[in-house]
This record gives sequence, structure tokens and C-alpha cells, in this order.
Amino acid sequence: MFDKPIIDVLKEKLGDRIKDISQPRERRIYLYVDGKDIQDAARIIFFDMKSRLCTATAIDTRLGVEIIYHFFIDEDGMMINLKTLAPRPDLIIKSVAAVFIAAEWIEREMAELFGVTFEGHPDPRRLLLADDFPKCIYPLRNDYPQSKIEGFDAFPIEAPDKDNTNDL
Amino acid sequence: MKETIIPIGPFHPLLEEPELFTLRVEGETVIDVDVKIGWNHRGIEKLAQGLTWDQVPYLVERICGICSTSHPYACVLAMEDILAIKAPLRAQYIRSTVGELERIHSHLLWLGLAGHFVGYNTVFMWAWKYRELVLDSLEHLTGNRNHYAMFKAGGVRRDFSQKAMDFTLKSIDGVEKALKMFLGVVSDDPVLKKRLVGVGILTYEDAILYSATGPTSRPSGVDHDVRRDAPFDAYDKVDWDVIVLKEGDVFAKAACRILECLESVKIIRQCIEDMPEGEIDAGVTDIPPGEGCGHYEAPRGEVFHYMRSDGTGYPIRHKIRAPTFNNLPTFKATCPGAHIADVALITASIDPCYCCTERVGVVDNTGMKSVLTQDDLTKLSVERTLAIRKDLGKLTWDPYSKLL
Repeated sequence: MFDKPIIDVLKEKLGDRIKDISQPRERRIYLYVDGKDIQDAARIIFFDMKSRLCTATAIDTRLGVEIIYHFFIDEDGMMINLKTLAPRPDLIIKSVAAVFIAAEWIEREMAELFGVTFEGHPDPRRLLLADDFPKCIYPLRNDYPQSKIEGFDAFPIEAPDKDNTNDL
Repeated sequence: MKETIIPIGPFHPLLEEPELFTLRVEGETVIDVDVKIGWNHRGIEKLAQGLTWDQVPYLVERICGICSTSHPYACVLAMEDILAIKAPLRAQYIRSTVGELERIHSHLLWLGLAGHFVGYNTVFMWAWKYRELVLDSLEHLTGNRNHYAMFKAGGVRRDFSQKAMDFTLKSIDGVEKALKMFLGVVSDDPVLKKRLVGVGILTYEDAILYSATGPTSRPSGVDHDVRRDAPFDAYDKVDWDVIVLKEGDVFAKAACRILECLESVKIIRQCIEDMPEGEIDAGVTDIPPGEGCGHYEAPRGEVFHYMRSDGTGYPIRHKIRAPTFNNLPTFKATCPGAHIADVALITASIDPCYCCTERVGVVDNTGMKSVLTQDDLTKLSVERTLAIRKDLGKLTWDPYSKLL
């Protein structure tokens, strides 16, 4: 589709918004942009370069939550991994779902599992966790308590009625 | 007209994934739909971070009982992406054979259930009969009808025996004949055509916007397939085609799946006939620091795995995305405007590990509630087929009297 290597197309379209770019393997490009540029970068890669959003990955790191949007250009078989960082302590970042709907569910998932706030998300409800799961506890963060969570019982079991135990 | 809200789901004892569809209807026409998932969230990503690199493929195999090869396939491709290696040639052919056999059995399972939904129980019986042949072949080849445990980073765990490969070649001949028969049934039957054509159309633009994958987007004209676009293993060494259709309705989705099965038969036959001799394992011992992505075209669409290693024995992050995660939101585009009786079909058409329609409550605005069951919804769909048959003058006797 492109008349020159995709890494050069990206450099040309995104200019100095790219903080870091590399192509470690033939079909993988990793690039890093600042949080304020994420919407623009996602728009250019999704609409202008005609790619498809595979999904997004969030990773809990020391500086904040690292977010990687994985795009795949079908015609060239090239995967573009767009990285950014939601910095601590507030973990706020602009929502890509506000740009295109394909990112809606995955951002809802990252919001509840990592506690990232996506500004401008069209539908910021919970996606996977139970409605009564305690707020401010995020299961995929490194500080997630490994023991039982106070005040939350995932499998409430009622004690059997003593009078009826003989029937069993 | 008064607006009514119909929740469908979330639990069904026969189907593996609970989902809740909330339909907003006016009369019998759907105007909006909301999907809620999460009842089956098992925290596999968190579990994977506590397992060694060798154990992770076994874990991801348990994500889905139907596509139990697609997840390990994508997972080992991600590991090989970090390692920057490829499996030995014989292992590549073995992998592709297992992947394609799985595609056929998954699509036949879907075809049977779709037949049941429109009231063609003969299709259900026949499709599942021929699915058994595929499962038997898999048992001969890998030792298991399901959960084959064949995949590891840098190769496969077991070799194919010549006897099992001969058995597979023989049984896929039978499957191919049956598939051609199904194709004839689907394309010639006027009732089926009237029932499925034009129902639940996913347009090309919506398929792109929602990033839908696999047999959900290819019938809408989106020409993509990971196996061809980013070729791996045996897929660029054998001759096959990507099935792309234009219409985007339920009929096209059904046709696409059957045609895809015929391509899979082609791939399996070539893989087994050209099976090279040699090693099946590259002998990977540890995974270096780095990150890698792996994706594979599962029966339902693209499976995506991202893994990051810090050089220790455990992945520090393992992201998994199943195709249904991208395909389910397309209901927002396909359901509005549809008849309630068609919703079971539309939800079934993306093969979401089966649209859990066990408990359907009809809630109107005053808060009154009545409950429909899975049988009621199937009945609605069957009645509609029956009416079409009567219209066409095809109905000389009532084959559904027991069902209704």
C-alpha cells in the first residue's frame, strides 16, 4: 500500500510527536508518544494508514501504567505498537475510544483492571468485574492484595439448614 | 409506540459463555441493544503471570473448549517473536494441520446450532455427525479429541504417526463430500434463503470501525486474514484462498464458514501429503528479555497475544484478546431494525460461543415482567421459518409439530 517502508511513513506523518521508534523484527514496529498526543497518533494510524485495532495492553510499571495500542495493517502485514504512559499518581490519559469505537471495550477493561481514567470515554462503565467488587482495588496491578479482600466475598455460601441435613 | 426492554441472558446451562443482551424494542422491532459480559471472567492473564513459560500454553488452552488450539498457537507465536526464531519445518506443518482441523470442527458445530436455530434439525444432526470424523482424526493424530496440548515454544510436543495421517486423509475425504452437500443445501434452499438473506447486515464501514475480525467481517467485504497477511508456519507453503463475500448478512456468514471449511480441507490435504521429515522441536530453554506479539486466525477471527519477558522464568505481562471481544460490539450496528425473532440468529451468526438465551425476561416500562426461555426464543425463530415455508407452498406436512 505504501511506496516506502512503513517506519518512514510513520516518522513523516507523526513528526516530532514520536519520542522513540524501533523495528526490532520484520513485521513489528514499536513507537512511543506522549500522553497528550495519543489521540492524534491513534487517529493517524487507524484512519490515515488504514489499520485495524487488534487490542490494547496495559502494564503496571514503576512510573505509571504503560498502555500499548496494537494496530495491524492488513495489506502489509505490519503490526504497529503505539505506546504511551498514564503517569502516577492520578493515571489519567485521553481516551482513544472517543476517536473510534473499536477501542471502547478494551479501554473499559483497562479502566477497571488497572484504575486508569480515560478522559472523554463515551461509556465509562465496568465491563468484566462484578458490580459489587470493591472500588479502588485493581486486580492486575502489582499492589493487588493476594489474600482475601475485606468486605468482598466472591462466592457467598449459605450454611445448610440444620433440620434438613438428614435429607442429604 | 411504547418502548419495551428485553434482557436476554446471562446464564444458559448448555452454553459456555454467559452474556446478557438488553434489547430495546418497539413492537417487534429492535431499536437498540446493549451487551454485558464478565460472568465468566477467570483472571487468566493474572494466572499466566504466576506460571512458567512452559506452563502458559497449557493454561491458555483452557480458555476455550472449542478453539483450544488457537490460543496456544498465538501464545507460542508470541514467545517465538521474543526469541526471533521459527519452528522446524515438520513442526510447522503439524501445527497448521491441527489448526485447520480445529477450524472445520468449530465451523461444523456452528452450522449445526445455526440449523437448530432456524428449525432445520436435520442440518444439526448431519453437521455434528461429520464433526465426529474430524474429532476422531484429531484423536488419532494428537491423542485427544480436544485440548491437544501439542504446542510449545519452538515446536510441537508430539509427532504424527503415518497411520494417523492416513486415517485423517481418509476421513477428510468424507468431510469434504458432506461440506459440498451442506453448501448445496444452503445455497439452493429457498426457505433458508428467505430466512437468512438480508438479516443482520454488517456493513463494510461498520466492520472496519468496530475492527471486527474473521468470519464476522470477511462476509462484509473486508479482505483480511492473518494467515495470509502475516504468513507463518505452513500457510505460505501451501495453496489456499481467503473467502471474502460482499453481502454481510447471516446468509453470507453461513456461506463463508462452509467455504472456509473447504479451504481448510485443501490445506490439511496438502500439509499431510507434503509433510517433511525431520526435527519437531527447536529446543528452546529460556526466553530472553523483550516483548512479542503473536496472532493467529482462530475459527471465529483473530486471536491476539502479547507477552513481555524480563528474562526470568515467568512472563511479567500476558495480554490475551479473543476474537469475540471485537466481534460482540458489532451488535450495536447489526441488531437495530431487526425483528425479535431474528436476534437469536444474528447473535448466533458471529458464533459468540453461543448466545446464551436461556432466560429471557420481557420488561415493559411499568416494570411488569414475563419470562421467556431459550425454547421460547427458538420457537419464535422456528415459527418464522414455518410461515415462510407456508408462503412458498413448500409445506405439505408439519415437521415441527413436536417442536412447537
